[in-house]
Amino acid sequence: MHVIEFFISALLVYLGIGFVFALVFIAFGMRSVDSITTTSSAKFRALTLPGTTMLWPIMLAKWIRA
Amino acid sequence: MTNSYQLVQWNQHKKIYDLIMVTAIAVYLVTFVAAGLLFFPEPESISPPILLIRALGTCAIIMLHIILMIGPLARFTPKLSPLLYNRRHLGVSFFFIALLHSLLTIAFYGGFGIENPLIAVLAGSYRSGGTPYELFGFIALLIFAVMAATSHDYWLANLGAAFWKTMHMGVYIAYILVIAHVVTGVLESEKNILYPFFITLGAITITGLHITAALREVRRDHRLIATNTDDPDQWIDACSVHEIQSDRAKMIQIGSDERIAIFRNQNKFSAISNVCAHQGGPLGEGKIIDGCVTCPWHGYQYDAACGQSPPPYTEKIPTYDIRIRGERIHINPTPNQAGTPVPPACYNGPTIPEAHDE
Repeated sequence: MHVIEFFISALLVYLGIGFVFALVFIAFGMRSVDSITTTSSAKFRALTLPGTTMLWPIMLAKWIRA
Repeated sequence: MTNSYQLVQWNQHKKIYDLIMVTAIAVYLVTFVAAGLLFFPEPESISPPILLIRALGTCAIIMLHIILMIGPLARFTPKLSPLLYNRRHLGVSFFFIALLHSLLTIAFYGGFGIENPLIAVLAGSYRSGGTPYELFGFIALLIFAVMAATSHDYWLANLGAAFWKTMHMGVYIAYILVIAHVVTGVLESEKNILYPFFITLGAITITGLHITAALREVRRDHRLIATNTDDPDQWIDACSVHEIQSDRAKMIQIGSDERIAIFRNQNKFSAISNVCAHQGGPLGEGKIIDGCVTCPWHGYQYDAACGQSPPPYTEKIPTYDIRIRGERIHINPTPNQAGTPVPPACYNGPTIPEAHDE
């Protein structure tokens, strides 16, 4: 039982960190990683929120390299 | 194509496709629930929330099977390419149906206790000594969530086509988890013979289609291998001008995995790489629309004479030198740099009769 509870807790922590990162990334980092997003709408940026939340380590690495 | 990102890439065709899809989903859900209420009266009645959970679950499974069948089916006939072209919207819609199924399940079965509803549902079967089939479904949903969230060209561009495609191959792992979710969970309590019958039929169909399509590809690879000419400049004899339908292409294989698509526009012939710069789609299975080679997967377009997407788009693919000797088309197998203009080869002989599909 502890395994399932641990799995859910770890997942929530991971996604929580990802959500905070995604908000910061979309506001400040997105343009430096992908210049095409400079002209993108706020709705499009919001659309990338779930993906950035889930894949935040990859996007963080890209932001650092940009 | 990428010179700016749009929220949803809709065009007239995709709007019609989406309208049909949404209507079909709505009709299925309403029919399932109505039939359940009608055919299971008191005292064997099933409550409307449970009926809706089942309707959403079965709807999601049907959609998943359709999604997985589109790929191999489109390899059998180009007539099904429009389904491939619109598969992304079907995939995202499928995820939302599966998500609704999960949320309703968690709310209905776990929402009335003092424990976290998610943990209550995921641990339910495990606590009672059964197979944790809820967990199989939940992990599958997580995989589908990543896929749905990254079903946009922004992600394709930023994750890279190779990584993005590999990540989206996770659908097959998720499919196995869904089958495990159904077989170890739902079928243990559900006595209706139709459920195991359809899930077995679906799994056999998916597996059979993929194996058949893969074998067909291998056989076609052997047929497509071009032969060398006696020319010292290494030109290869690709095919006859009569083998290519107007506005269509013939693919040839050079080397172990490199394919060239030779397109015919009226009496002009051009050769380009068969690999779309977007997701590696097979350009040779597409056709010329509005003067441009159009990828059958997502509609990316290229000028066959230069391998470039029409302005303002910037995608480029390699081109190949091409010439015609008599009625034979010769190709120089050394690719030009992506986007290099190559004058089309003109055939000035008698009118070319229309070739037919393989």
